[in-house]
Amino acid sequence: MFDILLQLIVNGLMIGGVYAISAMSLAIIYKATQVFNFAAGEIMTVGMFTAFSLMQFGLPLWISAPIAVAVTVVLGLAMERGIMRRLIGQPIFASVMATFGMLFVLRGLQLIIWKGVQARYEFPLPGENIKIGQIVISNDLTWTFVMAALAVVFVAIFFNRTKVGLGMRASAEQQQLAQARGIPVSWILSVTWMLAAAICGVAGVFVSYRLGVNYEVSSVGLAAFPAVLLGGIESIPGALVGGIIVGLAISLTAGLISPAAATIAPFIILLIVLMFRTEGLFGEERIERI
Amino acid sequence: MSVDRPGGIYNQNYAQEFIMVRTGTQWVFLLLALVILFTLPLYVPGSVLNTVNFIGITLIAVLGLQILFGLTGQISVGQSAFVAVGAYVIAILIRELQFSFWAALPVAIIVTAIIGLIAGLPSLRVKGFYLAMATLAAQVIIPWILANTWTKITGGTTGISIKAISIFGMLLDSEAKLFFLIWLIALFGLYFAVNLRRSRTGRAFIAIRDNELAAEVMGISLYRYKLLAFMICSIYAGVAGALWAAWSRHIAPEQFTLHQSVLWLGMLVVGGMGSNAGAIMGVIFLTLVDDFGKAIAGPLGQLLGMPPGVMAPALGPVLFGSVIIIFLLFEPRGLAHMWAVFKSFYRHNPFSY
Amino acid sequence: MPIVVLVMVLTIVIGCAPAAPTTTPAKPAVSEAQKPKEFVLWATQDLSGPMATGTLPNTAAMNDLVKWVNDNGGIDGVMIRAEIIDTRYESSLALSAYSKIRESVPRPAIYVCGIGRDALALKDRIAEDKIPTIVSSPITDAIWPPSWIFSFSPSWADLTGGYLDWLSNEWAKTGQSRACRLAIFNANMAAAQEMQGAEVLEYVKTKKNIEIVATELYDPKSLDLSSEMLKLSQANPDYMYGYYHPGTGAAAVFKSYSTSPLAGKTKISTVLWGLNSEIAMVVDPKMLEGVKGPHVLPPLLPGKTQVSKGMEWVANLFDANPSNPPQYRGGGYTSAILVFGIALNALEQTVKEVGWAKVDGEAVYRTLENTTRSNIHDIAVWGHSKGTRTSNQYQIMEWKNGVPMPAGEWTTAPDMRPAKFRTAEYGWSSQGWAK
Repeated sequence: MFDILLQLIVNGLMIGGVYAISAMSLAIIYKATQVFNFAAGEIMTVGMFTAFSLMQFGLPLWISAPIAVAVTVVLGLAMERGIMRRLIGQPIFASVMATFGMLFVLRGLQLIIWKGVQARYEFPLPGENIKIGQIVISNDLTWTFVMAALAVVFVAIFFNRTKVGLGMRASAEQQQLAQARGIPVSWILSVTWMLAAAICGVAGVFVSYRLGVNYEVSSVGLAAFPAVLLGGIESIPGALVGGIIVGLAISLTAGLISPAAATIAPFIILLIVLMFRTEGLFGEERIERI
Repeated sequence: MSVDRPGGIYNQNYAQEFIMVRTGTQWVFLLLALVILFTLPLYVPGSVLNTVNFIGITLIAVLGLQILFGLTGQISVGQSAFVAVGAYVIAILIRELQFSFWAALPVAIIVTAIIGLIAGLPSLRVKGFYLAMATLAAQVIIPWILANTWTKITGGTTGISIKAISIFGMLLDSEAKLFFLIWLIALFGLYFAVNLRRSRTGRAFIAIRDNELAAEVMGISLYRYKLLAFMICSIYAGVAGALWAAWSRHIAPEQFTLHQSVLWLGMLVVGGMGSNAGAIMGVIFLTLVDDFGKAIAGPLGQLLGMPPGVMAPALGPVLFGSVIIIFLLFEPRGLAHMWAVFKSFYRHNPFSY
Repeated sequence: MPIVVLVMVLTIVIGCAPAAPTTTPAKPAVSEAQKPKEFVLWATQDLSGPMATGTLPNTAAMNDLVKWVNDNGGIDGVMIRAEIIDTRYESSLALSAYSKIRESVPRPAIYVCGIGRDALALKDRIAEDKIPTIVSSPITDAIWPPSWIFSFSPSWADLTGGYLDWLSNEWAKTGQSRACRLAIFNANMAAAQEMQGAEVLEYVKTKKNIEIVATELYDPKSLDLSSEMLKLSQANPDYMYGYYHPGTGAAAVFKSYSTSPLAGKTKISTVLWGLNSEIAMVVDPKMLEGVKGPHVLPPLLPGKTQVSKGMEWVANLFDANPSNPPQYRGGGYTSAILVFGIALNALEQTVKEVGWAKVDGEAVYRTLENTTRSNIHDIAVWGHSKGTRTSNQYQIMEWKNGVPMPAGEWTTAPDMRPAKFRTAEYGWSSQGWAK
C-alpha cells in the first residue's frame, strides 16, 4: 500500500510539472496585464506542430525544439503587438475575449496548415526509465519535469537578476511610475507575452511526447487555470506549487478514488480556493478603493 | 444611456416614460415585423426554419447572459452548463415521469434557478475573472455530473432521447409547430429583458456593473442583486434548455461545452454588451457568419488545393475568432452601437448633430 | 423598442435569404427517361470535433469511391454525387444538416450518418421521413428499438460479446484452471459506458472462465494514466480491454502501461479503432505488438501487397488520387469505403429490383433489411440477423510487425441487445444469447 501511495505521489509530481509550466505562463501574463490567456493551450499546439514538422524534415529534437519555441515567441509578439496592445484601456474582459478569439483562430489555422495530422515524435529522449525499488519513473515524464524545473529556475532568475525582468516586475506594480523611472513599459509588455509564449512552446513540445502530436494537447491549457489560481495568480513560485498540487490531486483521485473523477479534481480544488482562500496560497489580498 | 428620439417627442409625465411604442410609424413597423416573423413558416423551407428555431433558443440563452453580464457585469463562462440543467430536468421529467411539457417547464426553471443561485454564491466574495473561474468550474463539473452519476436516469454519456413533445394536445413534430412555441417564448423573454432594464432592479444591476462599491454605498444590496442577476440568467438558461430538449429530442452532456458558452459570450461582444437589441443582432450575425463560412469553404478549399473536407471545419473557428477580435478592436460597443450611430445619422441628416 | 423588433425580423428575413434551399438542382425523380440525371448521396460526419483526426480521410474516401463508380458508368447509367456536411460532433448541427438533407428533391433514398450519437437525435425524424440511414458505429439507443437506422459495425456491446467469446477460447487454450481476470478500462465516452454496461456484465456470467475484476473510466484528455493503471494493477488482471483511439487517449494508455506494474503481466486488447493502422501514428508500434481484439475492417497496408483482392482494390483507389495525404492511408479511409459501399450496394440492388423510377427510401429500406450477409467488394463481410439492424460480423485482428493483421475468420458476434428487447416481438429466440 505504501509503495502504491509513493508511486501515486511520484506520478502526481511528474504531471504536476506540466501544469506548473502552463500555470507559470498564465501567471506571467496575468501579473503584467491582469489578463487570463485562454489561448495558451493553442500556443502549445503551435509549438508542438512546428517541432513535429521540423523533425519530419530530419532535424533532431535539439534543433527543432528551439526553432519551435522561437516560432511561438514570434506568435506571442504578434498577439501582443497586433491585438492585446490595442485593447489596453478597455475593460479587461475585452482582452480576455480577444484571447478566446485567438484560441479559435489558431485552432482553425492549425487545421488548415497541418490538416488534422496525428503523429508521435520518432526522436527518442536520452535516458531510461528510472526504477527505485518498486517505483518506476518514466523517462519522458522525467524530462518534462526537468524542463518544468528549468523553466521555473530560468523565470525566477529572469525576474530577480536581469534588468528586463526587474523592469517587468516594476511595471506590473505601477506602470506609470515605472515609465517615469525610464523603464520601457511598452517593450516590457511585449517581452512578457514573448516569454509566456515561449514557456507554452516548451510545454507543448514535451507534453506531446506523452500525448502524441494531436489537437487534444491544447486542453492542458484549461487545466492550468486551477493550478494558477491555487498558487496565487501573480506568484511564480505559486504557479509551481499550484501545478504540483493539481498534479497530485489528479493522481491521487485517479489511483485511490476513481479514474473517472480525476477529470474534475482540479476544478473541485478551484472551487475550494475560491470559497476559502481567494488569493491562493502565495497571492496577496487585494484591497479595492473607489 | 442617452436616448435619441425622433424630433418633437418628449416625455411630459411618467406614463409617457413607460411607453414602449411611441409613434405611429413604430407601431406600423412593429406590427409588420411581427407579421413577417410569424408568417415565416408559410414560405420558408423547414431547413431554414430549423435554423430560425435554433436562433430563437440561442437568443433566450444569450438574453440571460446579457442580463447577467451586460447589465450586471458578472462574467459567466458556464451558461451552456445551466442550459444543460434545464434540458436534462425537462427530459427526465417527460421521459421518466410522463410529465407534460407545461408541467415540467416550471420545475426545470426552478431547478436551474437554484443551481444558478449556487453558482452565483462566489460572486459575493470574488469578482471579475475570479468569478469567471467559478463558472468555469461549473461548466466542467455540471456536464461531468450529468455524464457520470445516476447514469440510470441521465443516460450517462449517451444522454437522453425523448419523443416529440405535445402541448395542448398538439404534437410538436415539425419545425413549423416548434417555431411558434420557441418564438413566442423568445419574444416574451425579450419583452421581459427590455422591461427589466428600465426597472428599479435593472438600474440597480447597472449600478453594480459600473461600480460595485459606489452601488453599495448608495444602498443597493450587492448580496441581493447579484444573486438575483444570477437567478434570472439561469431562468433564461433553463427555458432555453427546455426548448433545446424539445427541439433536438436528444440531449447529451457533450453538447453543452465551454465552446458553446464562449460562443454565446462572443455573440454579446459582437452585438454590443448591455443592449438587448445587440443580443439579437449578435446571435443572428454570428449564425450568418457561420453559414457564410460553410458556403465558401468548398470553393476556397479547392482554390487552395486542400484535401476535401478540411476547409469547412477550419474556416468556422477562424471566422468566429476573427470576427470577435475585429469587433473588439474596431467596434467594442458592437453592432448595436453601429445601428445607433446610423439611426442618429439618419435622423439628423443633413445636419451633423 | 419596435425598432429592435424590426431589426430582428428584418435580419432574420435577410438572413434566411442566402440560406434558402440551394442544395440540389431539383430534378424530379420520374423524368421522361424514368431516370434521374444524378443521384445525391448525402452524408454527415464530424470533421472538426473530437473525432476529426480519424474522420477527415472519410471525405477523401467518399469522393474517391464516388468517382470510381461514376468512371465505371455510375449506377445503371445514373451519376452519383456525394455531399458531406460537417456536424462538429454537435447534435444541433447534425439536426440542421439533416433538415437540409430531407428537403432535397427527390427525398434522399439513403443517408449516411457518420456519428452514431448524431443518429440518436435523428432517429424519430428518419423514420417519419422514411429515409434509411447507415451509421458506422452505433450507440445502443440508436438501434434499439429498431428504426430506420442500419449500422455498419456491430454495436459496442456486441463487439465486446465477440471479444469475450474469443477470450474464453483463448484462455481455455492456456489450460489454466482459474478464471481469466479481465479489466475493462475505457475513456469516459458513450461507447465506453456500453462496453462495460449491464448486458456485458450479464453476458460474462455465461462464460465460466472469465471474471471481470475491474471496470474503470478514464479522462480521455489525461496526460498520464500511470495512477489509473496502478489502481487497475491492484486487481491483478490477466487481460485489459478498452477502446483506444487517438482521440481517446491511446497514446497515454500505451505509454503509461509500459511503465506501470501491468507491463508484462497484463495483455492489452482493444477494439475497432485500436486495431487501425492510424494508432501507430501516435503509439510506438513496438508497444502495440501482440495487441488483439475484434474489428470490422481489414488493414490498408503500405505498398501494393494487401491481405485480400478487395484491399488491393482499395489501395489502388487510394493511390489513384495523388491529393490523398499519406496519413490518410488507414482505417478511416477503408471504413468510409465500406460504409458508402454498403449504401451504394443497397442502392444498386434496389435499382436492379425495381428500376430507377421506383427507387425511394422504402425500397432501399427493404433491400437493406433483407441483406442478411453480403460481401462488400471482397473487403469485408456485412450482415445481420432478422429483426436487428446492426451488423453482427467481426474478425479478430492482431498487431504484428507494426501493422494490424487478421488473426481469425469472420465470426458472428452474440446479440447483446438491451434486456427489454429480448422478446419474440423483436425476433429474439428464446434459447438465450442468440447468434
